[in-house]
Amino acid sequence: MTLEIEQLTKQFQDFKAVNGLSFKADSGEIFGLIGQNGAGKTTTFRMILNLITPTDGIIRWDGRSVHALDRDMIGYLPEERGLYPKMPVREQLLFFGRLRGKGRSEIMKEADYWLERFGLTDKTKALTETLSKGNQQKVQLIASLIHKPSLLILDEPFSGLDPVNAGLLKEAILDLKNKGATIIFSSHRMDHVEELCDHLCLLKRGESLFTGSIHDLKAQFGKISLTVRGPFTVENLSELPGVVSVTKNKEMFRLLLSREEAARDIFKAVTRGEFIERFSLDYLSLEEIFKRKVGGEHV
Amino acid sequence: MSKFMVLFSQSYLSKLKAKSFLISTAIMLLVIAAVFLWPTVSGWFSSDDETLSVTVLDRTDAKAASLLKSSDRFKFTLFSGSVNQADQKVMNDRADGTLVLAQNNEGGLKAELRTDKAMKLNDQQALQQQLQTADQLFRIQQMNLTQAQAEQILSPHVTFNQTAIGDQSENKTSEEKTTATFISYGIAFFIYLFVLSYLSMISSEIAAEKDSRIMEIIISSSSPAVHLLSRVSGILALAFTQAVVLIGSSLLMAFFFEGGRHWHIVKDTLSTVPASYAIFAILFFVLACILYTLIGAVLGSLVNKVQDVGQAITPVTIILMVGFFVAITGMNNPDAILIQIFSFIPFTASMIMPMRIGATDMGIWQAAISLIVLLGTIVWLFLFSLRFYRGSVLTYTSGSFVKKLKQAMSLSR
Repeated sequence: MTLEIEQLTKQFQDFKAVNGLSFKADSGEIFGLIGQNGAGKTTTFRMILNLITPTDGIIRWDGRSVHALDRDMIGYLPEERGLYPKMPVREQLLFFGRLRGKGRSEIMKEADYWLERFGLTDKTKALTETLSKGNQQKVQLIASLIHKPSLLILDEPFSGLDPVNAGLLKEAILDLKNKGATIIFSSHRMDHVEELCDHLCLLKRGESLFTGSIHDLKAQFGKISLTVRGPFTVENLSELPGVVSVTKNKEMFRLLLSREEAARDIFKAVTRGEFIERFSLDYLSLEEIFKRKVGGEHV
Repeated sequence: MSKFMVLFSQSYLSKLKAKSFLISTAIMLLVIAAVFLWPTVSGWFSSDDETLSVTVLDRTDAKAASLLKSSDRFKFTLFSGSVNQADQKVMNDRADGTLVLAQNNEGGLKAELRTDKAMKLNDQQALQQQLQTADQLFRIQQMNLTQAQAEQILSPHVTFNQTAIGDQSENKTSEEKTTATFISYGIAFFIYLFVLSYLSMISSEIAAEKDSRIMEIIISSSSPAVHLLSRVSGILALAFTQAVVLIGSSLLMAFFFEGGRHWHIVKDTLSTVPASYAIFAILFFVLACILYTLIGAVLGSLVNKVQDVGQAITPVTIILMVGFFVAITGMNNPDAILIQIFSFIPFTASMIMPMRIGATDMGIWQAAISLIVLLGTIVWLFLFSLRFYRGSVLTYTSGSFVKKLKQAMSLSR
């Protein structure tokens, strides 16, 4: 089942929150929606969720209008915690599960499975407000997937999570992907996006700067990130042809090249037939690309 | 179970089981019980049951002392000695006071009460009342009237009947009107209290759901309309549950407490109040609850934080207060133009129109028009809320109320 978005636009009075956005996310795929605050991610999610009506454009689910999509097939994790603070964890999961049309016994079975998987078995009767931020986020995630949705929308799922819990959450998301769910998520953490997403859309002020696979995005810039370790100085390396900038981090020098082809000449120049400890040519990280694309000339 | 039922039962049951609801209901029941048991309860804490012994020195020529009747409260003893001797009895605690009766220049009674310490206000008032009656009898006695003549003067009854000619309005007895006035005052007070507490409850509930973003999850799995309906129905069900508990308990208390000596009030009320009045009063009460619950829901959906709810509902609270105070004013003059105007305004009609129906001879068509206007307002507000709510629950704009309204309208398109 595929989610298709074509020329999606949302205009609020004199402000265009989303402008001509198009992308496609297939079943068993994780699609990332990346952008700064106010880029239009949440507005896009709300339009997919049918909470607000698009000014223009089409949203299709499995070839049909998204309005025809059974709401019980959608899972949604909002950016901020959406839980009843005075309600015990298990009761909370039961409420959200029933709201998605599931029966009590089915929800309880799923709840027990996920609570155990996330190490929350001893918190089932605890009031949500007494849980740590990380545990609340885990409960929130369980609430969004307890009904086994076909389309899962995760708005900043990793916020407030420590590396261990972020790892648990990543595993859970990958599990759902392997079971065939279509997952769309947004995050400010580019390492998570890089690790999880197959395709992404880079948003800036409501407009798509890039839509496609992460590999294609990186290939646009080429392999221009060079890391070397050896008996060099920043000054020496900066004078080499094709080097835009050099930064030193501990024993490592990081060179940013103007183009990928310059790397061969630099290799010859820094080795001169001698042994050096490290010469590694890579694509720019997603974070660097994000800053370049979204931050523009200021970065 | 439908989504509406999931949301409705969650809203209704969570509030029904809430300590705040249980405690407030229990307090209200205690207050009602205290009202029914007041004579007994007040007796436990007061020394009113002690009979005061009063020595009476009669200085009149017409045995005025015989006009004072001893009761549970006062025991009058005629004393033929001097004032000093009587005072001595008071000082020795053999009497609570000395009452010196004499005739004044106008032919009435003149009384002087001499006590060791000041008499309590309520005892003083009771004694004054007795003396006034005695004074009246004394004056009649001085006129040398026959007993029959004296009785005629003392029991003046005017027979007053009103007949409306060429008018469709009902004619009610003054007893019916007085009963209806007091019942209507009770209804207005009930509506005021109820609406005030439930208005704040629904606004807070919706604002809290919006604030915590639960709203987004709920409306993404159902719809804004289902959410609005479930919350309004949940709160109304809770309000009616409380009303049934309070009214039911009051009836049971009237029947069982103190050997059922208050039950006659219920019977008298039921026999005095016409069925049409009862139907209209119930309809106005129910519609007032619906109207204000809807307003509360819309206001709650507009604020971003629970702590802003108080500010948002203040104008509605003021409207309610105005309605209630106009209703109080109407107790003295239910036919006043001001009362008539407010009885047609949908926001105040519920508190005022029942009084006009019961306490005036207006045509029932006026009540019907007021009810239709109220119903129309509710229908309009309901349709508006359904459309508006979709946008307002997703509006997190800070700024003026008008700005929020504009953004909510824009989002709801």
